Amino acid sequence: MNDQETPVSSSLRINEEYVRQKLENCDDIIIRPMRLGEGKKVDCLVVYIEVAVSNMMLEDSVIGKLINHFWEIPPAQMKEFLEYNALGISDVTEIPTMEAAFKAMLAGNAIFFMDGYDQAIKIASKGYPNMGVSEAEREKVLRGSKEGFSDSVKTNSALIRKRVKDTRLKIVESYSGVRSDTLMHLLYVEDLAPEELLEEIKERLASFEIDGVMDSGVVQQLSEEVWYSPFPQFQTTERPDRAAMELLNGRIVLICDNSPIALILPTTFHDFMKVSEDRYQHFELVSFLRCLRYMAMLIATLLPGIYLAVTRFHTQVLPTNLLLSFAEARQGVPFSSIVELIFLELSFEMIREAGVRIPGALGNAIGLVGGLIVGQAAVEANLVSPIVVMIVALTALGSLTIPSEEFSAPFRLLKYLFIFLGGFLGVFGILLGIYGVISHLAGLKSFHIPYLMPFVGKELEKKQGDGILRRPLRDMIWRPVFADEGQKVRLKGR
Amino acid sequence: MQMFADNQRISHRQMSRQMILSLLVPILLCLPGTHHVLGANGLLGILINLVVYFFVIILLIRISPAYEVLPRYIAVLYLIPLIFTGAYLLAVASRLVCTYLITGIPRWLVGLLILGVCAVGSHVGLEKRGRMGEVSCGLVLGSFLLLYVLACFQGDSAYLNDPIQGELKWWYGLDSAYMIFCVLSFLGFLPFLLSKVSKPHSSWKPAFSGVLVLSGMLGAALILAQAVFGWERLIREQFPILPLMAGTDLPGDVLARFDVLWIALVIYGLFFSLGSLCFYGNHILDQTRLESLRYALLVLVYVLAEDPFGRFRIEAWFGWLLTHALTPLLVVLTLYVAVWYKSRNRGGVPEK
Repeated sequence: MNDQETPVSSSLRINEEYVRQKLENCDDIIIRPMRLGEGKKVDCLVVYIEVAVSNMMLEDSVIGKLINHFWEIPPAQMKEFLEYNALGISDVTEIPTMEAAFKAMLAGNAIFFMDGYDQAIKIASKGYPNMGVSEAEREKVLRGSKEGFSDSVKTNSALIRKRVKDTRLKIVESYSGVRSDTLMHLLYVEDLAPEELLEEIKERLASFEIDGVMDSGVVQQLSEEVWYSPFPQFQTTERPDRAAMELLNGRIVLICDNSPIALILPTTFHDFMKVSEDRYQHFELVSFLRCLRYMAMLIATLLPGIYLAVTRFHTQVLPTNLLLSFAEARQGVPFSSIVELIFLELSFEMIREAGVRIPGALGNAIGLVGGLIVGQAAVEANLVSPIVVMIVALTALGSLTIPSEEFSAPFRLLKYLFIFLGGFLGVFGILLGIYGVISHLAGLKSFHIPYLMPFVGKELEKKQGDGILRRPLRDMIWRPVFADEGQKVRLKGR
Repeated sequence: MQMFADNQRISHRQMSRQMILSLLVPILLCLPGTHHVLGANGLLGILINLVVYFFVIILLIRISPAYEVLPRYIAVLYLIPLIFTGAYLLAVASRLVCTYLITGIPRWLVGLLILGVCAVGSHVGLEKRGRMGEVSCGLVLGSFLLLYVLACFQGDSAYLNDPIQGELKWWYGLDSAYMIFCVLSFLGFLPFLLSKVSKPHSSWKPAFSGVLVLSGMLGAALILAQAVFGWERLIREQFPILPLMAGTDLPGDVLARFDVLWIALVIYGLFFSLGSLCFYGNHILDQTRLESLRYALLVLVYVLAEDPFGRFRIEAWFGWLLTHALTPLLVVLTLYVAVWYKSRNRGGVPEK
């Protein structure tokens, strides 16, 4: 307790006055005075958020049982009962200050004050309503668990604990957000995660003070080292099995209350190109799919720019028949190819954005129908040529093939840069862009781990065997670079 | 507990790849255009340099600690070859871009864009350049190997038996050896880097393997260029690797011509070489606490490359400058540093 905190008084009247003053106009919070003890002689007060504490608590909850018991015992024994925690339930804890009491109440617990007793009692309850465990929407897999994270940090941690039943899995609580006071859980496996890394993460989390943390995305943006980079330096997942697997790789998972997205750190470029079922599938298929994803990434970024570069500056590259068919397709289109491409790309971006915001099946329909209709109508109206529709469709497919939505975002943005570079400077412009992007990526690090890790540090990648091509699982003996040096072996006795 | 070694150092592999990528394109592009670095004499020159550079590398590694405590007046002299070579490479890159890749854009703008993209971030650190080298080298080297394989099908063994080329002349051999020595003399900057290489004392292996790869690539280019063009045409080409690229296609009729892609490969290699020069320039300026001259250095390189007054065409002069001034300067500087370091070391370990 520091000097600025208000201690809980032994006088219930003082406590009640303080509570009522602080909670003035907070109509969602119930302040319930009551008289308990044999003969109803002891004044008590329960403070709780209406929806966070069950109305049915008298029968089946801790507080219900406590109050029931207090009706039967003499007032003199009540204090003793609380002091020795006679209910024997660890969730009933004493709180010495009013600030801590409010914090506990706002976290969804009931707070119990008793006249003559200078401690508040926190009584755990079911907490705030949330969506509960549901299927992972963003990271669908053909094989593997269907469970996804929920909005409750405690539920999410439990989902991971369910998969890593080891006391070496540590969960450290902290709070962020001056007003939101958002609970965060930092999860790591004690002997796998390097201590320096853990310390640095804690330092970074403590390095900022913000009014509210409504989602893990806020923490992510405030903790990233290179804040201006469009490339995410934290990986995210909504799958508990993915988070658990990464913990076993020596990485650290950060879960934020009210967010179904967990942050995984450190991360590398290649990690974003993996999906959780990569570990469950046969290595040949996984290797093929990873190659496909990398190809898709290149298509998503470079294809429109290269198309413009080739058609505007380097037509000699194309076979004559193809060139003629391009020219024929463009007949009657009044705009330059850059305008044509940007128009269609932006139309697709709008359809995509609309599809995301519109709920349920209608969103999917908008995506499909919108794409077909706009493309077809634009071609028929001679606004764009069919080849551009194809380029945009391939680019979109490439972008959607990148497994992580947040990782595909920088490539979506870079695509426009390459459209301008390719459109105005041809292959020279594309080269400038590629050199610039490689230079930027080479300088990026995520918590000391080079972002391009599988492509640099080849010796390590070779040893681990989880690069673009994945080794058979029986040969993947070593943990990745994130894990502590003393705990590198993952598989024995295959 | 220990985590991944983020020790601000680069690995042997990164060092070797950086060396290869920085020198590969300048060597392949510029050397075969000099008459005597062709045919059998060129191959002899390569062999001589392999022996010479084995000892040079060992010398450079032994004196590398001196480069951490180099007096300012010596360090600044190292900027001279960097400036002129940077200007030359920039001029060549701009010309190639304007000739082969894009028309209608003024050359000064092309030069400015190239220098801009190569210079941005070049002061950040060796680790970054090491990673860039490691990522890019495989692609560039692999593409050149593919070019060689495809060019093989266009060659005619009869050209290799050309009597003029069959004749080995010791003077021509030595001349070509000196030319190759001059281009490889930029390894004289290696000691600046060695203090940031993990296990610097055993770094002669990756350094020499880098020289081996470069020599192998040059040797293969010399043989292929002669097999494809014959001696008579070869001696008339300024950059023989370019027509070699122009005539090399992938099978399968995927594209009508691949020359644009090959040229793009050469330009990318030149970007990396220029980026390396910018990096060393920044490194020397940082070491001598002259960081404020960073932009002045770039302006100087740009002005020399673009030659706004038409007085000094670096492309025409650079061959002479390299062989008569820059390489001798680098050799003298290296020897001076070696002597200076030895005399300084007599009194004990040099101060840092």
